[in-house]
Amino acid sequence: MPEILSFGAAGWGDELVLGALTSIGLALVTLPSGVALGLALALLRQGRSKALRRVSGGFVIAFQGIPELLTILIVYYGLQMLLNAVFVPLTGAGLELSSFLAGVIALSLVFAAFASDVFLSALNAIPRGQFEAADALGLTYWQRLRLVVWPQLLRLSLPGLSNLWMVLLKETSLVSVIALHELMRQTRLAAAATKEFATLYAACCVLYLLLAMISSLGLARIERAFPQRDQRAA
Amino acid sequence: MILDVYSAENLLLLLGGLAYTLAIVALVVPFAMLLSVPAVIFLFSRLRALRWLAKSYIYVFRGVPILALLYLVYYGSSDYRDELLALGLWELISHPFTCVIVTFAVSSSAYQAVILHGAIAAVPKGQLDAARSLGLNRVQAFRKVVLPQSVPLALGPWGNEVVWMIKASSIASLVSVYDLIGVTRMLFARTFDFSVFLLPAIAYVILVQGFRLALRKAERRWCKGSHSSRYLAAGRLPGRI
Repeated sequence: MPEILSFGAAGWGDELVLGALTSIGLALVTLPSGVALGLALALLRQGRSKALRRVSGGFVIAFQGIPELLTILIVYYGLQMLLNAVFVPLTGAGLELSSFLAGVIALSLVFAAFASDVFLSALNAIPRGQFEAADALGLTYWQRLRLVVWPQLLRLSLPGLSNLWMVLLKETSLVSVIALHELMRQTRLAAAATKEFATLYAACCVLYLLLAMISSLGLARIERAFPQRDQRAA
Repeated sequence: MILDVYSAENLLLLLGGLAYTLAIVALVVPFAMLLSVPAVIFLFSRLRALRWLAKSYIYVFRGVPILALLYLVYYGSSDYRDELLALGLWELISHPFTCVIVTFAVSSSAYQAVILHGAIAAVPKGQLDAARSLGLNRVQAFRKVVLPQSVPLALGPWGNEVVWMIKASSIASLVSVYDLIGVTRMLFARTFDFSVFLLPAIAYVILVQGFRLALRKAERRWCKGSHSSRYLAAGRLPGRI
Protein backbone atom coordinates (compact mmCIF):
# COMPACT_ATOMS: atom_id res chain seq x y z
CA MET A 1 0.00 0.00 0.00
CA PRO A 2 1.43 3.41 -0.91
CA GLU A 3 2.46 5.57 2.00
CA ILE A 4 -0.03 8.24 1.04
CA LEU A 5 -2.89 5.94 2.06
CA SER A 6 -1.41 5.15 5.48
CA PHE A 7 -3.13 6.20 8.66
CA GLY A 8 -1.81 8.98 10.86
CA ALA A 9 -0.29 12.38 10.14
CA ALA A 10 1.66 11.35 7.03
CA GLY A 11 -1.08 9.56 5.13
CA TRP A 12 -4.64 10.29 4.13
CA GLY A 13 -6.06 6.84 4.92
CA ASP A 14 -7.78 7.97 8.11
CA GLU A 15 -9.29 11.01 6.37
CA LEU A 16 -10.71 8.83 3.61
CA VAL A 17 -12.14 6.31 6.07
CA LEU A 18 -13.69 9.16 8.06
CA GLY A 19 -15.25 10.41 4.83
CA ALA A 20 -16.59 6.94 4.07
CA LEU A 21 -18.17 6.82 7.52
CA THR A 22 -19.84 10.18 6.84
CA SER A 23 -21.17 8.79 3.55
CA ILE A 24 -22.63 5.77 5.35
CA GLY A 25 -24.08 8.04 8.04
CA LEU A 26 -25.72 10.24 5.41
CA ALA A 27 -27.28 7.22 3.70
CA LEU A 28 -28.40 5.67 7.01
CA VAL A 29 -30.10 8.88 8.15
CA THR A 30 -31.74 9.34 4.74
CA LEU A 31 -33.16 5.81 4.65
CA PRO A 32 -35.89 6.01 7.33
CA SER A 33 -37.17 9.42 6.25
CA GLY A 34 -37.12 8.35 2.61
CA VAL A 35 -39.00 5.13 3.39
CA ALA A 36 -41.61 6.94 5.52
CA LEU A 37 -42.18 9.65 2.92
CA GLY A 38 -42.26 7.07 0.13
CA LEU A 39 -44.88 5.00 1.93
CA ALA A 40 -46.99 8.11 2.58
CA LEU A 41 -46.73 9.02 -1.11
CA ALA A 42 -47.76 5.53 -2.19
CA LEU A 43 -50.82 5.63 0.09
CA LEU A 44 -51.76 9.09 -1.21
CA ARG A 45 -51.27 8.05 -4.83
CA GLN A 46 -53.89 5.35 -4.49
CA GLY A 47 -56.02 7.16 -1.91
CA ARG A 48 -59.58 8.42 -2.28
CA SER A 49 -58.86 12.14 -2.63
CA LYS A 50 -58.36 13.19 -6.23
CA ALA A 51 -56.52 16.39 -5.28
CA LEU A 52 -54.04 14.47 -3.11
CA ARG A 53 -53.58 11.90 -5.87
CA ARG A 54 -52.66 14.69 -8.26
CA VAL A 55 -50.29 16.42 -5.83
CA SER A 56 -48.47 13.21 -4.86
CA GLY A 57 -48.30 12.14 -8.50
CA GLY A 58 -46.79 15.50 -9.44
CA PHE A 59 -44.28 15.23 -6.62
CA VAL A 60 -43.16 11.84 -7.88
CA ILE A 61 -42.83 13.00 -11.50
CA ALA A 62 -40.84 16.06 -10.38
CA PHE A 63 -38.34 14.30 -8.14
CA GLN A 64 -37.92 11.33 -10.45
CA GLY A 65 -37.23 13.70 -13.33
CA ILE A 66 -34.98 16.35 -11.78
CA PRO A 67 -31.34 15.19 -11.58
CA GLU A 68 -30.21 14.44 -8.03
CA LEU A 69 -27.45 17.00 -8.39
CA LEU A 70 -29.98 19.75 -9.17
CA THR A 71 -32.25 18.63 -6.30
CA ILE A 72 -29.32 18.89 -3.91
CA LEU A 73 -28.45 22.40 -5.13
CA ILE A 74 -32.08 23.55 -5.02
CA VAL A 75 -32.61 22.22 -1.48
CA TYR A 76 -29.32 23.63 -0.21
CA TYR A 77 -29.61 27.14 -1.65
CA GLY A 78 -33.40 27.30 -1.40
CA LEU A 79 -33.58 26.33 2.26
CA GLN A 80 -30.67 28.63 3.09
CA MET A 81 -32.51 31.56 1.50
CA LEU A 82 -35.68 30.59 3.32
CA LEU A 83 -33.79 30.46 6.62
CA ASN A 84 -32.25 33.87 5.90
CA ALA A 85 -35.64 35.35 5.04
CA VAL A 86 -37.07 34.08 8.33
CA PHE A 87 -34.21 34.51 10.79
CA VAL A 88 -32.40 37.63 9.64
CA PRO A 89 -35.37 40.00 10.25
CA LEU A 90 -36.18 38.22 13.52
CA THR A 91 -32.80 37.92 15.17
CA GLY A 92 -30.55 40.05 13.03
CA ALA A 93 -28.27 37.10 12.39
CA GLY A 94 -28.46 34.31 9.86
CA LEU A 95 -28.76 30.63 10.63
CA GLU A 96 -26.45 28.47 8.60
CA LEU A 97 -27.94 25.35 7.09
CA SER A 98 -25.73 22.31 7.59
CA SER A 99 -24.83 20.60 4.33
CA PHE A 100 -25.47 17.25 6.02
CA LEU A 101 -29.09 18.19 6.72
CA ALA A 102 -29.55 19.61 3.22
CA GLY A 103 -28.13 16.39 1.79
CA VAL A 104 -30.46 14.26 3.92
CA ILE A 105 -33.50 16.28 2.84
CA ALA A 106 -32.61 16.27 -0.86
CA LEU A 107 -31.75 12.56 -0.99
CA SER A 108 -34.88 11.70 1.04
CA LEU A 109 -37.08 13.50 -1.50
CA VAL A 110 -35.50 11.56 -4.38
CA PHE A 111 -35.53 8.26 -2.48
CA ALA A 112 -39.19 8.74 -1.55
CA ALA A 113 -40.23 9.45 -5.14
CA PHE A 114 -38.73 6.15 -6.31
CA ALA A 115 -39.71 4.20 -3.17
CA SER A 116 -43.36 5.15 -3.68
CA ASP A 117 -43.27 3.21 -6.97
CA VAL A 118 -41.89 0.18 -5.13
CA PHE A 119 -44.53 0.44 -2.40
CA LEU A 120 -47.30 0.98 -4.93
CA SER A 121 -46.55 -2.21 -6.81
CA ALA A 122 -46.12 -4.08 -3.51
CA LEU A 123 -49.53 -2.80 -2.38
CA ASN A 124 -51.03 -4.10 -5.60
CA ALA A 125 -49.39 -7.48 -5.00
CA ILE A 126 -51.18 -7.98 -1.67
CA PRO A 127 -54.26 -10.14 -2.35
CA ARG A 128 -57.56 -8.25 -2.17
CA GLY A 129 -58.90 -10.85 0.26
CA GLN A 130 -56.45 -9.61 2.89
CA PHE A 131 -58.06 -6.16 2.87
CA GLU A 132 -61.56 -7.66 2.89
CA ALA A 133 -60.69 -9.97 5.77
CA ALA A 134 -59.33 -7.02 7.75
CA ASP A 135 -62.54 -5.10 7.10
CA ALA A 136 -64.63 -8.11 8.06
CA LEU A 137 -62.78 -8.26 11.38
CA GLY A 138 -63.75 -4.65 11.98
CA LEU A 139 -60.24 -3.22 11.95
CA THR A 140 -59.86 0.53 11.50
CA TYR A 141 -57.84 2.00 8.61
CA TRP A 142 -54.70 2.36 10.76
CA GLN A 143 -55.06 -1.07 12.38
CA ARG A 144 -55.45 -2.62 8.96
CA LEU A 145 -52.35 -0.78 7.73
CA ARG A 146 -50.23 -1.70 10.75
CA LEU A 147 -51.31 -5.28 11.38
CA VAL A 148 -52.26 -6.61 7.95
CA VAL A 149 -50.72 -4.52 5.19
CA TRP A 150 -47.37 -3.41 6.63
CA PRO A 151 -45.86 -6.87 7.42
CA GLN A 152 -46.67 -8.10 3.91
CA LEU A 153 -45.69 -4.83 2.29
CA LEU A 154 -42.23 -4.89 3.85
CA ARG A 155 -41.51 -8.37 2.54
CA LEU A 156 -42.82 -7.59 -0.95
CA SER A 157 -40.96 -4.30 -1.28
CA LEU A 158 -37.65 -5.49 0.17
CA PRO A 159 -35.99 -6.29 -3.19
CA GLY A 160 -36.97 -2.90 -4.61
CA LEU A 161 -35.83 -1.06 -1.49
CA SER A 162 -32.51 -2.95 -1.52
CA ASN A 163 -31.96 -1.71 -5.05
CA LEU A 164 -32.76 1.86 -3.99
CA TRP A 165 -30.34 1.58 -1.06
CA MET A 166 -27.50 0.71 -3.44
CA VAL A 167 -28.43 3.69 -5.61
CA LEU A 168 -28.62 5.94 -2.53
CA LEU A 169 -25.17 4.87 -1.39
CA LYS A 170 -23.72 6.02 -4.70
CA GLU A 171 -25.76 9.22 -4.77
CA THR A 172 -24.23 10.38 -1.49
CA SER A 173 -21.12 11.23 -3.54
CA LEU A 174 -23.07 14.09 -5.15
CA VAL A 175 -23.50 15.82 -1.80
CA SER A 176 -19.80 16.70 -2.03
CA VAL A 177 -20.82 19.66 -4.23
CA ILE A 178 -22.34 21.41 -1.22
CA ALA A 179 -19.14 20.90 0.74
CA LEU A 180 -20.10 18.01 2.99
CA HIS A 181 -16.91 16.22 4.00
CA GLU A 182 -17.93 12.76 2.84
CA LEU A 183 -15.73 10.32 0.96
CA MET A 184 -15.78 12.12 -2.39
CA ARG A 185 -14.89 15.52 -0.97
CA GLN A 186 -12.25 14.14 1.37
CA THR A 187 -10.63 12.51 -1.64
CA ARG A 188 -10.71 15.77 -3.59
CA LEU A 189 -9.08 17.61 -0.67
CA ALA A 190 -6.44 14.94 -0.30
CA ALA A 191 -5.75 14.96 -4.03
CA ALA A 192 -5.49 18.74 -4.12
CA ALA A 193 -3.01 18.70 -1.23
CA THR A 194 -0.77 15.90 -2.47
CA LYS A 195 -1.21 15.90 -6.28
CA GLU A 196 -1.41 12.09 -6.12
CA PHE A 197 -4.58 12.02 -8.17
CA ALA A 198 -4.63 8.49 -9.57
CA THR A 199 -3.77 6.75 -6.28
CA LEU A 200 -6.26 8.70 -4.18
CA TYR A 201 -9.18 8.51 -6.59
CA ALA A 202 -8.54 4.81 -7.11
CA ALA A 203 -8.61 4.34 -3.33
CA CYS A 204 -11.88 6.28 -3.23
CA CYS A 205 -13.41 4.00 -5.89
CA VAL A 206 -12.24 0.93 -3.97
CA LEU A 207 -13.84 2.25 -0.77
CA TYR A 208 -17.16 2.83 -2.56
CA LEU A 209 -16.95 -0.67 -3.99
CA LEU A 210 -16.32 -2.02 -0.51
CA LEU A 211 -19.39 -0.20 0.82
CA ALA A 212 -21.46 -1.71 -2.00
CA MET A 213 -20.10 -5.20 -1.28
CA ILE A 214 -20.82 -4.99 2.44
CA SER A 215 -24.30 -3.63 1.71
CA SER A 216 -25.21 -6.34 -0.73
CA LEU A 217 -24.03 -9.04 1.69
CA GLY A 218 -26.05 -7.45 4.50
CA LEU A 219 -29.13 -7.03 2.34
CA ALA A 220 -28.97 -10.65 1.18
CA ARG A 221 -28.94 -11.71 4.84
CA ILE A 222 -31.93 -9.53 5.66
CA GLU A 223 -33.88 -10.86 2.68
CA ARG A 224 -33.12 -14.43 3.72
CA ALA A 225 -34.15 -13.72 7.31
CA PHE A 226 -37.59 -12.59 6.19
CA PRO A 227 -40.16 -15.35 6.55
CA GLN A 228 -41.66 -16.34 3.22
CA ARG A 229 -45.42 -16.55 3.09
CA ASP A 230 -45.51 -20.34 2.64
CA GLN A 231 -43.02 -21.16 5.35
CA ARG A 232 -44.60 -19.07 8.06
CA ALA A 233 -45.92 -21.28 10.81
CA ALA A 234 -49.46 -20.70 11.94
CA MET B 1 -32.66 40.97 -11.00
CA ILE B 2 -35.17 38.77 -12.79
CA LEU B 3 -34.55 40.62 -16.06
CA ASP B 4 -30.86 40.17 -15.51
CA VAL B 5 -31.04 36.38 -15.24
CA TYR B 6 -33.47 35.87 -18.10
CA SER B 7 -31.74 38.13 -20.59
CA ALA B 8 -31.65 36.88 -24.17
CA GLU B 9 -27.96 36.21 -23.81
CA ASN B 10 -28.46 33.99 -20.76
CA LEU B 11 -31.32 32.11 -22.37
CA LEU B 12 -29.03 31.39 -25.29
CA LEU B 13 -26.43 30.09 -22.85
CA LEU B 14 -29.04 27.81 -21.31
CA LEU B 15 -30.05 26.54 -24.73
CA GLY B 16 -26.40 25.79 -25.44
CA GLY B 17 -26.29 23.89 -22.16
CA LEU B 18 -29.34 21.90 -23.18
CA ALA B 19 -27.60 21.01 -26.46
CA TYR B 20 -24.61 19.69 -24.48
CA THR B 21 -26.90 17.64 -22.23
CA LEU B 22 -28.66 16.08 -25.21
CA ALA B 23 -25.34 15.47 -26.96
CA ILE B 24 -23.99 13.58 -23.93
CA VAL B 25 -27.06 11.32 -23.81
CA ALA B 26 -27.13 10.79 -27.59
CA LEU B 27 -23.45 9.79 -27.64
CA VAL B 28 -23.21 7.79 -24.42
CA VAL B 29 -26.25 5.53 -24.83
CA PRO B 30 -25.34 3.94 -28.21
CA PHE B 31 -21.64 3.84 -27.34
CA ALA B 32 -22.44 2.03 -24.09
CA MET B 33 -24.71 -0.38 -25.94
CA LEU B 34 -21.81 -1.28 -28.22
CA LEU B 35 -19.53 -1.80 -25.21
CA SER B 36 -22.09 -4.00 -23.48
CA VAL B 37 -22.22 -6.54 -26.34
CA PRO B 38 -18.86 -8.23 -25.61
CA ALA B 39 -19.71 -8.29 -21.91
CA VAL B 40 -22.99 -10.10 -22.65
CA ILE B 41 -21.27 -12.54 -25.01
CA PHE B 42 -18.75 -13.29 -22.27
CA LEU B 43 -21.56 -13.79 -19.75
CA PHE B 44 -22.99 -16.54 -21.96
CA SER B 45 -19.57 -18.06 -22.64
CA ARG B 46 -18.79 -21.69 -21.83
CA LEU B 47 -15.45 -20.63 -20.35
CA ARG B 48 -15.63 -19.86 -16.68
CA ALA B 49 -12.77 -17.36 -16.90
CA LEU B 50 -14.63 -15.24 -19.47
CA ARG B 51 -17.85 -15.34 -17.45
CA TRP B 52 -15.91 -14.31 -14.37
CA LEU B 53 -14.26 -11.46 -16.31
CA ALA B 54 -17.61 -10.09 -17.49
CA LYS B 55 -19.12 -10.45 -14.03
CA SER B 56 -16.25 -8.54 -12.40
CA TYR B 57 -16.48 -5.79 -15.03
CA ILE B 58 -20.19 -5.40 -14.30
CA TYR B 59 -19.73 -5.62 -10.53
CA VAL B 60 -17.03 -2.97 -10.42
CA PHE B 61 -18.68 -0.44 -12.70
CA ARG B 62 -22.08 -0.84 -11.07
CA GLY B 63 -20.61 -0.52 -7.60
CA VAL B 64 -18.66 2.69 -8.02
CA PRO B 65 -20.48 6.05 -8.24
CA ILE B 66 -20.19 7.57 -11.69
CA LEU B 67 -18.79 10.77 -10.16
CA ALA B 68 -15.93 8.91 -8.46
CA LEU B 69 -15.21 7.16 -11.74
CA LEU B 70 -15.23 10.45 -13.63
CA TYR B 71 -12.82 12.09 -11.20
CA LEU B 72 -10.54 9.05 -11.34
CA VAL B 73 -10.34 9.17 -15.13
CA TYR B 74 -10.29 12.96 -15.52
CA TYR B 75 -7.81 13.85 -12.77
CA GLY B 76 -6.07 10.52 -12.38
CA SER B 77 -5.12 10.42 -16.06
CA SER B 78 -2.72 13.35 -15.55
CA ASP B 79 -0.45 10.99 -13.57
CA TYR B 80 -0.11 8.85 -16.69
CA ARG B 81 0.21 11.65 -19.22
CA ASP B 82 3.26 10.23 -21.02
CA GLU B 83 1.81 6.75 -21.32
CA LEU B 84 -1.51 8.09 -22.63
CA LEU B 85 0.30 10.40 -25.07
CA ALA B 86 2.20 7.39 -26.39
CA LEU B 87 -1.07 5.52 -26.85
CA GLY B 88 -2.65 8.54 -28.54
CA LEU B 89 -5.40 8.65 -25.92
CA TRP B 90 -4.31 11.81 -24.13
CA GLU B 91 -6.39 14.18 -26.27
CA LEU B 92 -9.46 12.04 -25.69
CA ILE B 93 -9.11 11.79 -21.92
CA SER B 94 -7.81 15.26 -21.09
CA HIS B 95 -10.68 17.08 -22.78
CA PRO B 96 -13.64 17.29 -20.34
CA PHE B 97 -16.37 16.52 -22.87
CA THR B 98 -14.78 13.46 -24.46
CA CYS B 99 -13.62 12.26 -21.05
CA VAL B 100 -17.23 12.38 -19.86
CA ILE B 101 -18.43 10.45 -22.91
CA VAL B 102 -15.85 7.69 -22.44
CA THR B 103 -16.33 7.35 -18.68
CA PHE B 104 -20.12 7.45 -18.76
CA ALA B 105 -20.22 4.96 -21.64
CA VAL B 106 -18.08 2.48 -19.70
CA SER B 107 -20.23 2.90 -16.60
CA SER B 108 -23.52 2.65 -18.49
CA SER B 109 -22.34 -0.37 -20.46
CA ALA B 110 -22.21 -2.38 -17.23
CA TYR B 111 -25.87 -1.58 -16.53
CA GLN B 112 -26.89 -2.20 -20.15
CA ALA B 113 -25.07 -5.55 -20.12
CA VAL B 114 -27.20 -6.66 -17.16
CA ILE B 115 -30.38 -5.56 -18.96
CA LEU B 116 -29.47 -7.32 -22.21
CA HIS B 117 -28.31 -10.47 -20.43
CA GLY B 118 -31.49 -10.59 -18.36
CA ALA B 119 -33.72 -10.10 -21.39
CA ILE B 120 -31.99 -12.86 -23.35
CA ALA B 121 -31.96 -15.24 -20.37
CA ALA B 122 -35.68 -14.61 -19.81
CA VAL B 123 -36.58 -16.15 -23.17
CA PRO B 124 -37.47 -19.79 -22.40
CA LYS B 125 -34.72 -22.20 -23.36
CA GLY B 126 -37.14 -24.34 -25.33
CA GLN B 127 -37.31 -21.60 -27.95
CA LEU B 128 -33.63 -22.03 -28.73
CA ASP B 129 -33.90 -25.83 -28.68
CA ALA B 130 -36.88 -25.72 -31.05
CA ALA B 131 -35.05 -23.40 -33.44
CA ARG B 132 -31.97 -25.63 -33.37
CA SER B 133 -34.03 -28.73 -34.02
CA LEU B 134 -35.51 -26.99 -37.07
CA GLY B 135 -31.99 -26.89 -38.44
CA LEU B 136 -31.03 -23.30 -37.71
CA ASN B 137 -27.44 -22.84 -36.59
CA ARG B 138 -26.60 -21.10 -33.33
CA VAL B 139 -26.26 -17.63 -34.84
CA GLN B 140 -29.44 -17.95 -36.90
CA ALA B 141 -31.40 -19.29 -33.95
CA PHE B 142 -30.25 -16.41 -31.82
CA ARG B 143 -30.91 -13.76 -34.46
CA LYS B 144 -34.25 -15.00 -35.73
CA VAL B 145 -35.84 -16.56 -32.65
CA VAL B 146 -34.29 -15.44 -29.36
CA LEU B 147 -33.40 -11.81 -30.11
CA PRO B 148 -36.84 -10.77 -31.46
CA GLN B 149 -38.36 -12.07 -28.23
CA SER B 150 -35.88 -10.43 -25.90
CA VAL B 151 -35.92 -6.94 -27.45
CA PRO B 152 -39.45 -6.19 -26.20
CA LEU B 153 -38.38 -7.46 -22.77
CA ALA B 154 -35.36 -5.18 -22.70
CA LEU B 155 -37.20 -2.07 -23.88
CA GLY B 156 -38.60 -1.01 -20.50
CA PRO B 157 -35.40 -1.41 -18.46
CA TRP B 158 -33.43 0.08 -21.33
CA GLY B 159 -35.70 3.14 -21.20
CA ASN B 160 -34.95 3.47 -17.48
CA GLU B 161 -31.27 3.46 -18.35
CA VAL B 162 -31.76 6.30 -20.86
CA VAL B 163 -33.72 8.27 -18.28
CA TRP B 164 -30.95 7.65 -15.80
CA MET B 165 -28.40 8.93 -18.32
CA ILE B 166 -30.43 12.09 -19.02
CA LYS B 167 -30.17 12.84 -15.31
CA ALA B 168 -26.60 11.64 -14.83
CA SER B 169 -25.40 13.85 -17.68
CA SER B 170 -25.67 16.70 -15.16
CA ILE B 171 -22.64 15.24 -13.36
CA ALA B 172 -20.53 16.32 -16.34
CA SER B 173 -20.86 19.88 -15.03
CA LEU B 174 -18.51 18.91 -12.16
CA VAL B 175 -15.57 18.59 -14.58
CA SER B 176 -16.39 21.96 -16.19
CA VAL B 177 -18.58 20.79 -19.05
CA TYR B 178 -21.13 23.56 -19.64
CA ASP B 179 -24.21 21.38 -19.94
CA LEU B 180 -27.60 22.58 -18.67
CA ILE B 181 -26.54 22.33 -15.03
CA GLY B 182 -23.08 23.74 -15.73
CA VAL B 183 -24.60 26.87 -17.29
CA THR B 184 -27.16 27.10 -14.48
CA ARG B 185 -24.49 26.98 -11.79
CA MET B 186 -22.48 29.62 -13.62
CA LEU B 187 -25.53 31.90 -13.86
CA PHE B 188 -26.31 31.33 -10.18
CA ALA B 189 -22.75 32.18 -9.17
CA ARG B 190 -23.02 35.42 -11.16
CA THR B 191 -26.44 36.59 -9.99
CA PHE B 192 -27.33 34.67 -6.81
CA ASP B 193 -30.87 34.62 -8.13
CA PHE B 194 -32.46 31.39 -6.90
CA SER B 195 -35.09 31.38 -9.64
CA VAL B 196 -32.40 30.44 -12.15
CA PHE B 197 -32.77 26.81 -10.98
CA LEU B 198 -36.42 26.71 -12.01
CA LEU B 199 -36.00 26.61 -15.78
CA PRO B 200 -33.57 23.66 -15.95
CA ALA B 201 -35.63 21.75 -13.39
CA ILE B 202 -38.68 22.06 -15.65
CA ALA B 203 -36.60 21.21 -18.71
CA TYR B 204 -35.36 17.96 -17.14
CA VAL B 205 -38.84 16.92 -16.01
CA ILE B 206 -40.17 17.53 -19.53
CA LEU B 207 -37.27 15.58 -21.08
CA VAL B 208 -37.62 12.62 -18.73
CA GLN B 209 -41.41 12.49 -18.73
CA GLY B 210 -41.59 13.02 -22.49
CA PHE B 211 -39.16 10.19 -23.12
CA ARG B 212 -41.04 7.88 -20.75
CA LEU B 213 -44.40 8.56 -22.39
CA ALA B 214 -42.96 8.08 -25.88
CA LEU B 215 -41.38 4.80 -24.82
CA ARG B 216 -44.62 3.56 -23.26
CA LYS B 217 -46.42 4.37 -26.49
CA ALA B 218 -43.78 2.54 -28.53
CA GLU B 219 -44.02 -0.45 -26.18
CA ARG B 220 -47.78 -0.62 -26.56
CA ARG B 221 -47.51 -0.33 -30.32
CA TRP B 222 -44.69 -2.75 -31.09
CA CYS B 223 -44.60 -5.08 -28.15
CA LYS B 224 -48.18 -6.22 -28.10
CA GLY B 225 -48.49 -9.65 -26.61
CA SER B 226 -45.06 -9.56 -25.06
CA HIS B 227 -44.97 -10.09 -21.35
CA SER B 228 -42.33 -7.59 -20.42
CA SER B 229 -44.35 -6.15 -17.57
CA ARG B 230 -45.01 -9.59 -16.15
CA TYR B 231 -41.35 -10.55 -16.24
CA LEU B 232 -40.50 -7.25 -14.57
CA ALA B 233 -43.09 -7.71 -11.84
CA ALA B 234 -41.78 -11.18 -11.15
CA GLY B 235 -38.34 -9.69 -10.62
CA ARG B 236 -36.87 -11.74 -13.42
CA LEU B 237 -35.68 -8.69 -15.30
CA PRO B 238 -33.23 -6.30 -13.74
CA GLY B 239 -33.84 -2.59 -13.92
CA ARG B 240 -32.20 0.40 -12.42
CA ILE B 241 -35.12 1.90 -10.59
